[in-house]
Amino acid sequence: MRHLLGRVSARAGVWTTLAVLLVWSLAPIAVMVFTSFKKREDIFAVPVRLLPSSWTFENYSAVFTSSSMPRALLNSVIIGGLVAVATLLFCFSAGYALARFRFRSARPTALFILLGQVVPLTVVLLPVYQIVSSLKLLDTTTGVAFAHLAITVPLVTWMVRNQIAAIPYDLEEAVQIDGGSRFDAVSYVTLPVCAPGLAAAGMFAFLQSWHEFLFASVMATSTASRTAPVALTQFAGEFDVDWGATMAASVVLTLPIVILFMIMQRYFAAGLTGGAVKG
Amino acid sequence: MAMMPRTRAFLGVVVAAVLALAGTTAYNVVESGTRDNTVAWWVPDWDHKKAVELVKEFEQQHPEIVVDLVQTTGDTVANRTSVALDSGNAPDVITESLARVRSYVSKGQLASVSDLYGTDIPTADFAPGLIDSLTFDGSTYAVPYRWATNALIYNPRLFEAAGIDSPPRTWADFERDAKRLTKGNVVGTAWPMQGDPNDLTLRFLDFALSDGTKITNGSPRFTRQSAEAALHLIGGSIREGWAGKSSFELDNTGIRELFLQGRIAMYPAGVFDVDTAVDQGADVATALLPGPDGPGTAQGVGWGYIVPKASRHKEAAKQLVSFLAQPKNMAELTVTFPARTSASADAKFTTPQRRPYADQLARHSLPAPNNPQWTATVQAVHDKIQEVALGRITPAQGAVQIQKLAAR
Amino acid sequence: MTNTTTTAAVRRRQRNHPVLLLLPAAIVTAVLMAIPIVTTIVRVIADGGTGITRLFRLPDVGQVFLNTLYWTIGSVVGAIVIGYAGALVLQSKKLRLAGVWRSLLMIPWIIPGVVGATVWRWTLSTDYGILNQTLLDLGLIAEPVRWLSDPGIVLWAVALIQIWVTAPFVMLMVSAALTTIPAERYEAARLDGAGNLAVLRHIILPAIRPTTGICVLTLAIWALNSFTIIWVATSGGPAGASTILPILLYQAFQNGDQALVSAVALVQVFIGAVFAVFFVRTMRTDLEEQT
Repeated sequence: MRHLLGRVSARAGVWTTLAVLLVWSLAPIAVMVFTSFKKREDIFAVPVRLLPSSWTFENYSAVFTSSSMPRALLNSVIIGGLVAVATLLFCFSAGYALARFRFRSARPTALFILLGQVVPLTVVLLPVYQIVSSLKLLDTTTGVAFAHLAITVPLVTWMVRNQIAAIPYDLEEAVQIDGGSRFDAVSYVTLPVCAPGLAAAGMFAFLQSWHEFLFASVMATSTASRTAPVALTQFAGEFDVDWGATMAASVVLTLPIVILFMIMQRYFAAGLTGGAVKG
Repeated sequence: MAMMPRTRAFLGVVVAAVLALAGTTAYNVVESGTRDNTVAWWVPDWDHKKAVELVKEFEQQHPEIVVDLVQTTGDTVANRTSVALDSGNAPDVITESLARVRSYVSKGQLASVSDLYGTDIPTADFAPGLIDSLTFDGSTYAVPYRWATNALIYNPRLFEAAGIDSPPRTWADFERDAKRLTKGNVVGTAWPMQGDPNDLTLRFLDFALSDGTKITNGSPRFTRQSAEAALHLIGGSIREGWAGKSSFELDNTGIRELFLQGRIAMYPAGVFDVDTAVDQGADVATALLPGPDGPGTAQGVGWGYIVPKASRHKEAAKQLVSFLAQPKNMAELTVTFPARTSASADAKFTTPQRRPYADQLARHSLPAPNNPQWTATVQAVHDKIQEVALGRITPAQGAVQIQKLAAR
Repeated sequence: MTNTTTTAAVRRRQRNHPVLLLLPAAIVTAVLMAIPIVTTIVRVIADGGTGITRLFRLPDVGQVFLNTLYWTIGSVVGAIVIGYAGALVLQSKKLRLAGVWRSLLMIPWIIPGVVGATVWRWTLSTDYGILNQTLLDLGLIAEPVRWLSDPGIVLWAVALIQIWVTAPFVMLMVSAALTTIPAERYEAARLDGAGNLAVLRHIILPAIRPTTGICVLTLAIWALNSFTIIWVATSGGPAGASTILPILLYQAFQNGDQALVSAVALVQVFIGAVFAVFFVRTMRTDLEEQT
């Protein structure tokens, strides 16, 4: 009997903690979602209420019909995709080299790449702008994606390196003993084994690019390459912030990424930690 | 080296990706070289729709010039313009805040547009002192198209309920009325302490300029007494409770919305707030800013067109600017007031609520300071005002410290 | 690499120098990161250290450094605690639909920082904030708390937002580490009569120690470079009460004050580099244990 009671209370404890965590994580999201359905005077009503007093889709129609948001969402997806692909290309090769070769400059190289992670972006802004501008990539999706590589490459290189290091080298050797080239060993053994991890790393790169504001706001001058977070600022005019539309746009901008994450979340945990943090 | 099929496919994809990237770059390099006679004009979102129509008209008048309209957002235009000008790769015309022009000029980044002024665009047609504030060493570096000041907005219903029959004319009136209006969940006034620090310092400086502070060479020269009085009005009002304590987290939008709900009785603000209130049918009336003993001074702020020195189509760019500076087009593109007096005749600028604004602009205004050294101290001054409001320092101490900051 | 693994594989690894493989990533890092760092250092030296001197002579610089310290510690500790709680709950066998809950708990991390900060600013507002309204309705407070405008509270309020954003990352990392603890170890402990707390202390915590290290360092670097959240929520105010180094840097950037930008950046890179070295250390010992 006591045993049973103990189990019941343990279960209650687990569910209570979960409930608290869910409220903590989702309450602000609820504010965002409900505000996006409120009319203007309702948003600023005092005392404030969570639920709209009358529901409206005005904010959403403003976002979709009279703003650059739809185009910006498309740009964000394109840029995020480019960033993910390029990051994986660069980081897989670098990560492979760092994990599989022992050479004297390995540690300095690794440290050097990682140092990229700690540089404040504001400092990098002007030089990157000049590079992008000299490549004639200003105000193009490619240019913004190129700038975003500065953010993704350092950490992803480390993530990929740890995943590869966790795969026993013997597996690759077996292919080479069978007469395959080193490329064959990589594409038949290493790539399939760390595919989930790479998917997660790609998703991570995509997310970083999806979030980024400062570079995107400066590299993308016009609507042609404006990304979604930058497009959010268009609801803040010179004298006025349209909060309803801002919240609606935020919902629109959050939804695809949450769905994408739900689909990919199984790989994500494994990929982020790589083999590196096994106990 | 023998390769298995999947390896070949994999390498193929990699090579294709790299080639595509290189190809895009090469295409961009070639493409951008071929576009001549195209004037790139950066326009903030809020002007974009009207600008499209104006450009159409301009292109009809000047068939040899193509205008490439680039839509920017107001929040990002400052960073973007300064980075573009620093890098030397800039568009041909930019719609920019006039407060930042002097800083670009001091870095030698703008082309002179003096030759545009003359019979078509007489300098005397602009608000008093405006063109002078954009002229350095004899050359003018911008053509303003919109220009406005703050004035006092108040809620006549709340005034009536408190038994006050006219808006405050002097600071003493302002303080007395605000104290009487503060009751229940209504506060006498509020200040925008969140958001752009300029919003707060502009109001502070309006008060200081009304009481003896002067602007020389684009920088304010504070008198101790005027700075202290201004700090008392803003910081002291929050300390003493006749301005909202929540001022610390209100920006312009937040204050306006509280005013519209009848929770703030009066506040100094721009004409946009009046238009919004009128549109929503709220109780609203306007008056000149109060001063120490009569109407106070307000600073004009606004937007104009600049042509970067790095522009490769300066002549075409200037033709566009001169087209946009015609009174009719200027009136089209402004939601506040046009920079030229001859453009202000339009009915939309002469509604009853707008009259005090026009009066403030014409008779009690001067251009806001635009010296980069002053701009760089705005944040620090803003923080000092907040410290007074928090009660950490007295208005007298704050005045001394702000004088020191501005003198550096 | 321990000396027991001197195998053919290792010898083969030593032969090549993988320049070609490293080149793309190294070039990207060099062009996009290293050149700016070097430029920054050169600029600081070239102006004779006036930027640095000015930085340390700023009237509130002490407060900025203290704020940065409190902010970093507060947000790291908070994220670790909440992230652990989340991971342990999701690990529990008594829970169904763990995948769904995990996805929901991850939302704060996967939405853009600008959005998160905007929503929080809205939630915490004195006049329009739902949090104050709820607390008032519940009778927990008598008058609205000025979360974002009381200088004694504001730094912790913005740290709360940072915790909200980063805790899911910790949860994710710890979840992954927990799955690697073999079930037998728990059973053995239970047979020995260990309670929940003893299991946590003697089995779980030691097993995920390396993960903890990596989380702490990543979080610290993020906190040190974090700019969006504070900028959107308070812009560093009131009166500099929530100004940290990255905010100072951005203000200098907006004023076009390149000397000050370089000086602040150098300080930030220095602090960050110290963390990066720790990061590499942790990663390395960790990897060596494994191979």
